[in-house]
Amino acid sequence: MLKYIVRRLLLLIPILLGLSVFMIVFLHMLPGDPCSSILGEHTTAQRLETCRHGLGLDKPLYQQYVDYMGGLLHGNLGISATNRVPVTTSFLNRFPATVELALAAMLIAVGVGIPLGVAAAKRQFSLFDNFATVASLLGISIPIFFLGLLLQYAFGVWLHWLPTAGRYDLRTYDFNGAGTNFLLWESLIIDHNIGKFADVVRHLILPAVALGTIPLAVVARITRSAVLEVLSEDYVRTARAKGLTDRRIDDRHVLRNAMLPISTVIGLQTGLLLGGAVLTEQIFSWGGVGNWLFQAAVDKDFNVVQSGALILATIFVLVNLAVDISYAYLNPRIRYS
Amino acid sequence: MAQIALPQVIEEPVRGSSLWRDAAARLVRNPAAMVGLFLILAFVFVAVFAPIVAPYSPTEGTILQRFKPPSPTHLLGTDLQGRDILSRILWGARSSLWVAILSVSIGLTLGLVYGSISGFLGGWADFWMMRLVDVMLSLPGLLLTITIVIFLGPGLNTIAFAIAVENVPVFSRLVRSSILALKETDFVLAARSIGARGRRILVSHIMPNALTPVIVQATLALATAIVDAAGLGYLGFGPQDPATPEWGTMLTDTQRYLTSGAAFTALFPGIAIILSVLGFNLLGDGLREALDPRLKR
Amino acid sequence: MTVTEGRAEAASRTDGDVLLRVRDLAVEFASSSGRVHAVNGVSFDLQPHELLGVVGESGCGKSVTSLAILRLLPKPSGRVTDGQVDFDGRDLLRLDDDAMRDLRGREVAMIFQDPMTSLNPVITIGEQLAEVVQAHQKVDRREAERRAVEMLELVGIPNAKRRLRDYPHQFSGGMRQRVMIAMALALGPKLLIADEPTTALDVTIQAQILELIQRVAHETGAAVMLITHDLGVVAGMTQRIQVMYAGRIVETATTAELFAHPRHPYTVGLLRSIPRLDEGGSHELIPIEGLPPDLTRLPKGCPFAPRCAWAIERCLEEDPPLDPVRAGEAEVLAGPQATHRAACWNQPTDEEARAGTPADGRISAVAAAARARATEAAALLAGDR
Repeated sequence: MLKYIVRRLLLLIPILLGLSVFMIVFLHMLPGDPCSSILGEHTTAQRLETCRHGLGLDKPLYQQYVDYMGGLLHGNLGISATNRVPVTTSFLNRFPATVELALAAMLIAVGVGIPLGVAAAKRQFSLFDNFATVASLLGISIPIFFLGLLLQYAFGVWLHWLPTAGRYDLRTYDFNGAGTNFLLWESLIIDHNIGKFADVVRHLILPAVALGTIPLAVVARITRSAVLEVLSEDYVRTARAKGLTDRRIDDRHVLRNAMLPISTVIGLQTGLLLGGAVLTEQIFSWGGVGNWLFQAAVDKDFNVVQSGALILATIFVLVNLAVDISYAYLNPRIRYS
Repeated sequence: MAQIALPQVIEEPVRGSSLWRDAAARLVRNPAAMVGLFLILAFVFVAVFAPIVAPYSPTEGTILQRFKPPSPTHLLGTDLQGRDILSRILWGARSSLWVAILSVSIGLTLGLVYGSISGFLGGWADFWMMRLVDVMLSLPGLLLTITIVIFLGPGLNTIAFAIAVENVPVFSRLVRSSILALKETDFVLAARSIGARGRRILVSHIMPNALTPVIVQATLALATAIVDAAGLGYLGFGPQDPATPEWGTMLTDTQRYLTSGAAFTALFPGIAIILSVLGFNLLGDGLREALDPRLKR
Repeated sequence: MTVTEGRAEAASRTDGDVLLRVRDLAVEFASSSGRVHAVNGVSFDLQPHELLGVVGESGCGKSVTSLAILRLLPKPSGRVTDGQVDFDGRDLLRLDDDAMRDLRGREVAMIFQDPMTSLNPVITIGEQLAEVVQAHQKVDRREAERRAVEMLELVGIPNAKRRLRDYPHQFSGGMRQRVMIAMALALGPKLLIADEPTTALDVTIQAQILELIQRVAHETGAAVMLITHDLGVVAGMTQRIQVMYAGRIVETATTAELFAHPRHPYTVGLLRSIPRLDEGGSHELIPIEGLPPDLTRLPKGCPFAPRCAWAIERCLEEDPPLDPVRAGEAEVLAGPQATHRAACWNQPTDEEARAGTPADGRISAVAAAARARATEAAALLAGDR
């Protein structure tokens, strides 16, 4: 087990290295650079040159890479070309928003998806099962931005039940205290303000539903197929032959085994969501990393795109690693070998 | 002691096609898959014959006619510039179909080549080639796609190219794992020892097994391509020419008009996207079940 | 109850002669190619403490019969369409779910073919043993574990206490099957159904497991239904054998009688396809021609007829009943005095059984053609040498 972890951690290094090389090569392969967005379209070649020189973009590629990696080792991920804020600062400021959104979305996905999948598996071939299958296929067929728009319209504009933009009501509250930007935490634990907390939650609902729909469909489907798979296993038959109650069979035999593949999928989906949901954040004006990277891409802000992507990709790889390790831990066959 | 083993098993002729026939039979019996197939055919039909089927031209309209709700003259109403929404949706299918086919075929081909080479080479070459694939797969969301489109400029072809790039790693992995699995089967060993005749069995039995996950993935990739294309269109990277409607682009400005009672302008393009994507997803799901001999019903 | 209590209870049983009485059992499966008639009118009796062997090739319905008895058929597809199963005075097919659940594991236990897949890989052996005890008796965890250790020792697993905490994959195949046997007999059931218990094991281990089953069954007083495709397995173990084909019983007799005087062509075929050390001289291994029948479309008449060397016209028309081989004999359905019965219109004689093939005048067309081919092949081989 330990060897397994060590081996996987070692694999991280070439991946991360590869990531950085890939990003820098890729970005510089594409035409354009931040200077044209900073200076605007009508500018002289001279000023473009000066800008480019100032940003170090006229150095040979390998030199830029070395400089970048050097900075990386010192914890310096570069500075945004457009607003001069260090990438690290911007990232730490915006990431909590994405985290809260991703967790809320996954909560919905898991809380609804797993029971749905289990119910469908136990009623295989029934009307409920067919309905659940079609519903989950529908779930992955709806474009997020369209769903977001629908939700905004239905619950925000038409019914006026829920807010449609931002993370909290700017007119009523402010968050200037702790500065972690984890608003759920801050409003409840630090400010002890239930009303504030409720406001944050209300703002979280629509984007979380929009973002969580696809993971919900995926979790429901994988739960259904995992449970079906386990139900047909020999050891379930043995458990029945032993005269165990249905409840006991479900808990100790079916779910314990089905959760292995299900939790892997949950982990993966969370990793994907943490990568920043560009479209959802756009629609709901959510101040997270998705929005941030998107804007940086539009501005051709190399540093931000490169470093931001690097950070997010690293997080994704680490989440995957955590998922694999926990799977190895939960599965006695791997744990004790 | 004379022991004679009588040849008793009736020789069944090797028919590689029977695999497809079984799968087709299973597929036809799947109602969800058939609905999906119908949706796809409708989608393709509309895309191909839009110029003939659409009641109006996609650019024809005056500001005076803007935001007319659905009526007999304009079945789905008119948009912010007075253009017939139904016609624009029908023409929009062409954009989606074009991007889907282009992106998936490019992605599939490149991925096939990359994955095959990696699988055949094995060893260190394979290891590093797959690490590159890992890298590409760990990049966040649509970032890669968006970056490509931003840098190369908006338009259908750029979108198609960007989506194709996203598809390459997925297909590479798929093809490579098929190749690895097959390299180790007894089939290959047996085929080598038998010679030419074995090679024929190899082709008619192994190829179908290797191709089935690719076929399923391609169908699902078409679905994703349509959604991604619409997403990119929504963000403003779609065709800039108003004569080329695109479903996502049609949704872009509608956010502003949600409050002014013109919600239907957003509803119909969205539904079009859902139906076409659902079609491919239903069929892809059905194909996955039909082509997997081990799946327990 | 403990093992010794079980034995005492079994001995004191005044039920009389019959523990299990199956009548006209029929089971169907729904499949994509139609309805599979897996079991077609199976009737048999089983006495307390009796060791019955059920033999047949894959697909003959032997496993399905036992699954049907315990109502463990796969849910949507399998259905009992007819029949009665009387166990200890109760009709199992009409029992309510809770009573059935209570009966499983406690009065009737079953062990399956593959011990690796039949044990839950993520739960310890100790827990899997303890839960069968706790499912039927109000005992605490400590007591259940104590019972588990007792059972493990009974089946011959060393270091029982320590091994309670191990997982299935940490045991060898033979040990796992011992654990399965321990789980099955933990509550002293009256009937143990063993479905191909040794098929997935090494040959050397097979004998050990069979011997174990015999021993613990004797010690606990359980009756045993041993299901297998291998006549060699039942030869040394059982008191009585019933042979199944295409979902019905085609022959049944005491073990000695069946081996000495088989009266159904299928049984003859089964016996002839085992090499036997006690026969010297020229001895051809004669496999049974043809393929198993399609259970979705059973023809009228005897299901074995298409492959039978003794087949006559009547065989293709009428399905032969399972009647005593010595006409007019009284039918004793179970026990050491059980009547030898076979379902065949044209039963092989003892000489034909020894030869493995009908006498010249009685051979069917199918077999005649096969014999011609065999002679040809033999001639070719002889010529080559």
